Amino acid sequence: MKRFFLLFIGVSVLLTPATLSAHGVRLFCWFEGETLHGEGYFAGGDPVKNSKVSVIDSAEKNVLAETRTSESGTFTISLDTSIPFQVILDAGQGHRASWTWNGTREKEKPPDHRETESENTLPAIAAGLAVIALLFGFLYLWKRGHAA
Amino acid sequence: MHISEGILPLTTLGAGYAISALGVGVGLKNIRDDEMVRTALLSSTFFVASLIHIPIGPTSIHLVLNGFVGLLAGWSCFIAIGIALLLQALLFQFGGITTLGINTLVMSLPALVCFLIFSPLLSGKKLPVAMTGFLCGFTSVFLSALLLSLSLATAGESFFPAARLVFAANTPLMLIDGLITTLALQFIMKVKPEMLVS
Repeated sequence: MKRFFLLFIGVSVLLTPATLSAHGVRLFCWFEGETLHGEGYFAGGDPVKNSKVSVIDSAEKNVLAETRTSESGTFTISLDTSIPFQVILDAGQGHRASWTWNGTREKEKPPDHRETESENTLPAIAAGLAVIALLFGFLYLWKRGHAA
Repeated sequence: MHISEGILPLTTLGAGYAISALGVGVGLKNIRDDEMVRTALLSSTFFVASLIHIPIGPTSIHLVLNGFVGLLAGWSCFIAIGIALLLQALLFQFGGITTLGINTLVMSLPALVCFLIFSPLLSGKKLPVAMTGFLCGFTSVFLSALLLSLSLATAGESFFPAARLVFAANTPLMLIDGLITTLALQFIMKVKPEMLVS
């Protein structure tokens, strides 16, 4: 049992630095006519200010447009909505979020944020599970120490 | 089913922390070495279950499974649920740090009540596993919704409609949690019955 816990803690420690640093950037986009509106914010709710927004053609991988977010984390871009593209928000220091448009109007209402949500949520879930393993590992060792 | 920060009065928040601390203390005193892994897994289950959203009409609800956690963890449910809620607050901004005590109480007390009611029924085989699972899942969410509504009501009359709405909105979740708890208990009874029948 003790060896199992030491292994559990060891794996958790190895996992934690990679996952804890990945606090999420979220990107929501929607259309009003031919204009794409977007909003970026961190997991704590703070807006992603003055950060680079790139629109990439999904097929050719060309940059279709670039802009920067405002002080409130929002941006607008006029685009040809008939082609599939990906919007990438780069908040710096490796914090990125993306939103994909498939070129059809089916996804316009409501906007589909599932991809972005899952990209941001999975590292946090992994971090949470690692911390739970660590805490119970320490609790086990603490109880053992008191029992001895 | 998380109470956000800035709503409840200090007395409610303080009472939540005090009672939850008592539950965690009893849990820490009673937990045995061989229960650590199981409690950690139950904490992980509770942590992840809240992230599974089920669309219901124009809105969506998430699984709770506190009855399932309570039934298997006993008094340790305060530890398992408290840690999971702390991590949900830090990583996903569900609830908050000031409301951690009351949120732990709202989830853990019904879990403990379910343990005290349904664990003897399960051990004594007085009820079929399926019925025990459904009643356990249903009762825990019912009691949690009730506690949540009562907590909101302490914030003043302006929150009475919200308290009623919260309770009504969780009614489908009582059925869904009951169903999921039934399936989980039936599976455990098939593969590792000693976890349920002591």
